[in-house]
Amino acid sequence: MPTDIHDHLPLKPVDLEILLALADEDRHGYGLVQAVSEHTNNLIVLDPGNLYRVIKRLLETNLVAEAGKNPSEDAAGERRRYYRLTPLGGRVLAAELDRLRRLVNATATRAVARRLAP
Amino acid sequence: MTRTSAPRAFHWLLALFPKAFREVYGADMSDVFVDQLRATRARSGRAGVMRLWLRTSLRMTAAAMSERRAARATRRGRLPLFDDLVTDLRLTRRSLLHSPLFTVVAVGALSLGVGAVATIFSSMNAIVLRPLPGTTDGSRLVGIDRRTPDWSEGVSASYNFYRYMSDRAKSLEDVAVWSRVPLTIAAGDQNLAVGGNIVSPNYFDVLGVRPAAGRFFATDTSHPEPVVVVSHRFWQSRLAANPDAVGQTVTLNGRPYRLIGVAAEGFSGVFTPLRVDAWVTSSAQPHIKPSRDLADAPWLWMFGRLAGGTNSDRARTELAGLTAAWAAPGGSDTFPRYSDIRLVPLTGLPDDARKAILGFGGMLLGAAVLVLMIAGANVSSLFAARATTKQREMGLRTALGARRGRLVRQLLTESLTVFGLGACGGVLVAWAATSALERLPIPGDTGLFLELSPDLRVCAFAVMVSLVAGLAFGLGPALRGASHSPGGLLRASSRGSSGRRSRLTKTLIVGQLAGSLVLLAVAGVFIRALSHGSTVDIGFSVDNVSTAAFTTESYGFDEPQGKRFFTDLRRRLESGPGVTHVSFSNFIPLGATASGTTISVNGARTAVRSAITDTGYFATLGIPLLAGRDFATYDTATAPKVAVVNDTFAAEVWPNGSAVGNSFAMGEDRVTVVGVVRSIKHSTLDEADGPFAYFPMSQRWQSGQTVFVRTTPGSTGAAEAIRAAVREAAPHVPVPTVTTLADETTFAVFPQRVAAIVTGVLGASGLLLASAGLYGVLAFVVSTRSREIGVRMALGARPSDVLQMVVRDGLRMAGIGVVIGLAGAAAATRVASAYLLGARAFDIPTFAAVAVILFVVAGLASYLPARRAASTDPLNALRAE
Repeated sequence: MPTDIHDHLPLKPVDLEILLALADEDRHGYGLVQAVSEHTNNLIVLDPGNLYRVIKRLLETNLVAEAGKNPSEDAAGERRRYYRLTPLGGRVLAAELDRLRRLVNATATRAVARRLAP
Repeated sequence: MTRTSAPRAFHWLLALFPKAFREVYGADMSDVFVDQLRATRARSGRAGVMRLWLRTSLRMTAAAMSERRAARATRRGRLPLFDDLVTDLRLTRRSLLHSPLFTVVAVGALSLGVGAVATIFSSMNAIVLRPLPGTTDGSRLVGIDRRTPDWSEGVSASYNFYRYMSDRAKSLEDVAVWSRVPLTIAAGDQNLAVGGNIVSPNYFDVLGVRPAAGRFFATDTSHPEPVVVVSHRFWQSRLAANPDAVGQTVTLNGRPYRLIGVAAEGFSGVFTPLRVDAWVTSSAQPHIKPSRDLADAPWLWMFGRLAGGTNSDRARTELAGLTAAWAAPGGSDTFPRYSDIRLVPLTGLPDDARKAILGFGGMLLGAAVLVLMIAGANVSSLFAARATTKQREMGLRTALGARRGRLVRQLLTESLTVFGLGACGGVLVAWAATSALERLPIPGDTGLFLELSPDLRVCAFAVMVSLVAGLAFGLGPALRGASHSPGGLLRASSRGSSGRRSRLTKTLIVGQLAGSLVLLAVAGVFIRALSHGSTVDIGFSVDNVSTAAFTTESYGFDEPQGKRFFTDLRRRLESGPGVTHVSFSNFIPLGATASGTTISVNGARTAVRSAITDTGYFATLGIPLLAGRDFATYDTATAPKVAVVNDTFAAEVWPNGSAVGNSFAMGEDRVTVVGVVRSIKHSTLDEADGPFAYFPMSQRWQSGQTVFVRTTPGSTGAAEAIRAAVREAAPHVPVPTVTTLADETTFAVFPQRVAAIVTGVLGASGLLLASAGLYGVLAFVVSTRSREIGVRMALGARPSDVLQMVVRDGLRMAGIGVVIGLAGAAAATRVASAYLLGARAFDIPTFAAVAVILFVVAGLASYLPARRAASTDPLNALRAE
């Protein structure tokens, strides 16, 4: 299993969104779906199948882990599994955001953006 | 708080995932989906839920495929065929979403085609194919039908015959009998007329029907008190589904019965189109049906459940032997002629009606298949046109090393996906169409009702049909799409379609046009038949006559009381405003009933159709009396027996001389003919006149009679007058349903009406598809020929020349289509001729009219692309190269 942060980069867009959503707080499956669609303005609406494929992958690569029960949830959430960001996940997320920031700020990127702007 | 579990369909989606994945995440996935469903329903209603289902099922399927592939890859290498399928599906999805117009048009066309076939199949399935609703293991139920050895005539079972069979038949687990009885149930201060069945106590057990509440009849036959079972529908609508109603006493035909149970939801007796709301046991016969007996009177329908390990053939052999022994001379049986037995599947209709509907439905199914073929050809040419535009992609992939088989498979996956979506659309179309058909009013007071909606069997059928069509129409374009040498394809540009392909496409269009012409011609011929039907001389006058049916037995009246009721009713009605004639009969000509009897003249036995009528019947219906007299009040029960016969009867039996004064034997009686009337149409509009005999109500009592009230033209309120007269004559008699004779007699043309509507809709759909196809092909041809058109115009061709050229191209195809279609129509209308009421099958005006319609539509479909071609700017067209 890769432990070097840069082996995980670049992140797939959906993976990035999930990690971002978990950076705020621990969430269960439907919570993740809601957070991602809110954050992307409904551009990404996950179906249960793909959601858990991504979760499975992130669990396998040790970027997220199962959290214990979330005491702040009401009784309806009792059976639900919550997920949290691992320390490795946090570092990977930070590195990815850093990479994206540098990409957006690069002179070449800005030049292209200016040229293609309407 | 307990959580809602996900719908069953979602579990099917989960089942697509590998087991290991499902075990870990299945429950969580369900939870997420349930939450999504709830949120979507709250936010965007049912439309949103539909979209969510569609999106989720597509994505979940794709996700499951990917997950399976990943799981397999980590376990033991890859499975090429499966991986390819995943890739193909992904490519298909991308390519279909990429050209939404194509997808929508193709799926729409197929939905129409598959929907047409599924609608007809669904209706046939509901009426004649599926086992009785509400029963258990209905496929092992058989109707037992006593017939003459050549099966041409049948007779109902007597109770003695039933007992005999029940005691001896080894190949049947059990046997039961039933018969129809009109019943009157007291509900509050009002009496209701309901359809009822009188049944052997084991009836529900043999059918395997379960009670929705309470229990069914005990089979020890010794009920201490009369009991009744009601239908689920009656329980819900009249008893407010109150569980306490079970065990209460209800008044049935004037006497108290204990309501012991409610039948399973959806169960409506053995003949499903007849509404049945109450069941009583055979032990109630002396009260409910005093005119029959539990001995030798033939009035019961028999059915049984095949014993385990037997099949219908073996059972038939055994039962036929038993019947022959029962009918043997010297035995106790009164119907020795009916010495054979026939077993028929118990699917909700008498066997003769079942056969007729199968034939009729088969014809309509043929028409629907034609629509499906038109749709298939349409989509096939869409695929072909698309393949032309995808030539470059295919060429590139071949050049990069893709094998031909791979490309064929991908293209075929694409067609099958489109056809699969068409199947789903087709089921939706069928669902909508059958609910429209259910609402089609059945004429007259027949008590018939239909439930046609699709079940799982119909869905499976639609998928199968779509798959077959997908292979038949999708394989061709797929093979051709992948059959080019890469060099040629990469070089080829928009210079024009290859001759062979465009010929094939044109052939498909011609086929579509021909097919829709056939459909339109059949629809036209049915419409002709309907209008022809209205001009047939039926021999009696239906205008200004109102009718209402009564069964005095079900009001608890014995014979004298019944007669008094009818006399009283008649007296009250005759004094009503605008009433000119009143009479009774047990028979409505051209209605849904029929009756007959056997007479013997000079020792020779013949079957004649017959009716029982009151005095004044011929005057009420306007049937001319040709000789002798009508029945009169002095033809009493004790007076010499008399009859009135029709002119066909008179001419056949007494060809030389007058029938009046002659006599024939009927049972024990000697019957004298006192009058001759003109023949009328009795059951169908195209029947030949047959012998018919009328007997006076005063000499042959029957408790079921219809009143006929003729009023002066323009007077209204006959219905209210009849209801008021009934109320005054006997307040507890249920309010009758009043219809008009005109309504009742349209039952005779009901099949033609259905056929005209169904084939008309099918024909219009076919024409729509064919003209859309024609339009599409011409538009495509025009776009590929833009360079040629540009050159022509540069060389001096006027826009009108170009317009003509393209329209001529379209009309030429229409012309060929019309010629082929007319030949097909001549053959197809011949098949339909059995239902045409004597209208000509090969009807030149109809054929000419539909040919004109086709030409006009084809002209329009060609004009639009032609106009675009004519407005081509030659410079642009040439520069585009």
